[in-house]
Amino acid sequence: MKFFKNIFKNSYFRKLYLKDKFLFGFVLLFTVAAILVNFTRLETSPFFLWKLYSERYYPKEEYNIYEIRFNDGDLLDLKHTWNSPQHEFLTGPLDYYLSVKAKNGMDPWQNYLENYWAVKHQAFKSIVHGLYNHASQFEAFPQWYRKYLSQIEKKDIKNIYVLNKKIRFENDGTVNEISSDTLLVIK
Amino acid sequence: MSSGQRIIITRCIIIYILCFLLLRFIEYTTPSRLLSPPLFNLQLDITYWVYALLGIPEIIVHNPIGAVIFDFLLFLTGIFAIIFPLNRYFVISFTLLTIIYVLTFNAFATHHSHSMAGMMVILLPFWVADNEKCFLLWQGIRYYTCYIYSISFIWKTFIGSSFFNWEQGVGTFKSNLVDYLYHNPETLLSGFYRWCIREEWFLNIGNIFIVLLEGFMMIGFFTKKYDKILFWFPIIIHVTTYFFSDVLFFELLVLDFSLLNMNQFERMNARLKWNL
Repeated sequence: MKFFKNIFKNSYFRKLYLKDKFLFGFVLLFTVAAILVNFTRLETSPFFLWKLYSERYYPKEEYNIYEIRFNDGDLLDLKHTWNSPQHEFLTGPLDYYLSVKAKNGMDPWQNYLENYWAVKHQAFKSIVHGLYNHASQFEAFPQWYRKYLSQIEKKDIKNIYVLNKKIRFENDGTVNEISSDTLLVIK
Repeated sequence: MSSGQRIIITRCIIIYILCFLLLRFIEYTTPSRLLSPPLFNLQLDITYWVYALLGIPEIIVHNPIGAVIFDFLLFLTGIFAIIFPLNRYFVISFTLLTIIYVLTFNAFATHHSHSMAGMMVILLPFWVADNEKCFLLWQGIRYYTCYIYSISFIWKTFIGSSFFNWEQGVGTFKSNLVDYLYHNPETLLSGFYRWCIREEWFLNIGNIFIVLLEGFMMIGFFTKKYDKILFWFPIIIHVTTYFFSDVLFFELLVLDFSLLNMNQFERMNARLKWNL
């Protein structure tokens, strides 16, 4: 018991408690929330789940990648440099759009929020409508993507081809294309 | 913490954040240059729900004038907070606008990245007027820095089990860099990457090393004696993951400032004369 008393006596929280009880309460709540999200697994910013790469990754035989070409076959070269945010913005929404298009064209969150979450939480039923993408937003996506890419490439882009490529690693570390399909054409 | 020390710390942090925000502006990823993207992803994060339900995207993303004003205010408050670091209103305004930017970027990129997590919390101690209380909260940020790496270690070892997967290094490497290797086969870096794939042990040991570095950050909870060493661990982690996992988390390194002691800030100040 004396051991724990000594720990508390010299602890950061005790110093904070003695200095300002409000700040002590704030930091304590922040700490509890930051730890608690790891149990509930429900991220609530700024209380994050720091679980990136905690799931197992095994090398695979084949990988799928997107290749984005525009106008006369110009390649959108997403280089491995400092432009990571731009890379995220060019691939994240596109990936989201394609995954929804490949299924039933409905935002997966619409199904979950309308048919499960709102059923459980009837009081919030009226607000879920604004928490997912609607059909008109998916329809607007291709033209937004063309405009956004035109801005980045600083030229008028008339058409975009998004290809899905199956890639295989060889033993010497080189990569070879196995197949290529056109996933999306924007004109 | 003296006012001088507070000035130098505030300036270091805000300059660091502003550099990355400027980079994001140049890369067309701040609201004024997003051109009103139609798709978003809020996931089950209540903070994002509140952000959307308050109608913030309509004002700063879908309204072109609102988007320009937002970008302007984001940089202006940052610049004013650098010039007047003891003026809490500029610091508070800049923090709030940065938080809104992070939510905006993540929601419309349809992926909630944690790279800007540090930018959301690191200025909170400077919302407090009293320097001693500010110092105590700054110590809290130091613990938070140790926490995020420690919990990441716990996720990889005890909650998940990727640490015990020998092929984790080569597995993450291939899935993240296949794109780069396919489109840039001629570069020197690609040559090095091909060597890494042939010598899988190098990637797998590297992965174990990085996870252990995250675990070592727990030392920070018990003593400040090793902060000079711990300071380098997040840098090694993020530089390594940038090259071997294609994950750019340099913005998170803003938290690393919390591992510097006051003498180091004083020395920095003596060289830069920033608190004049």
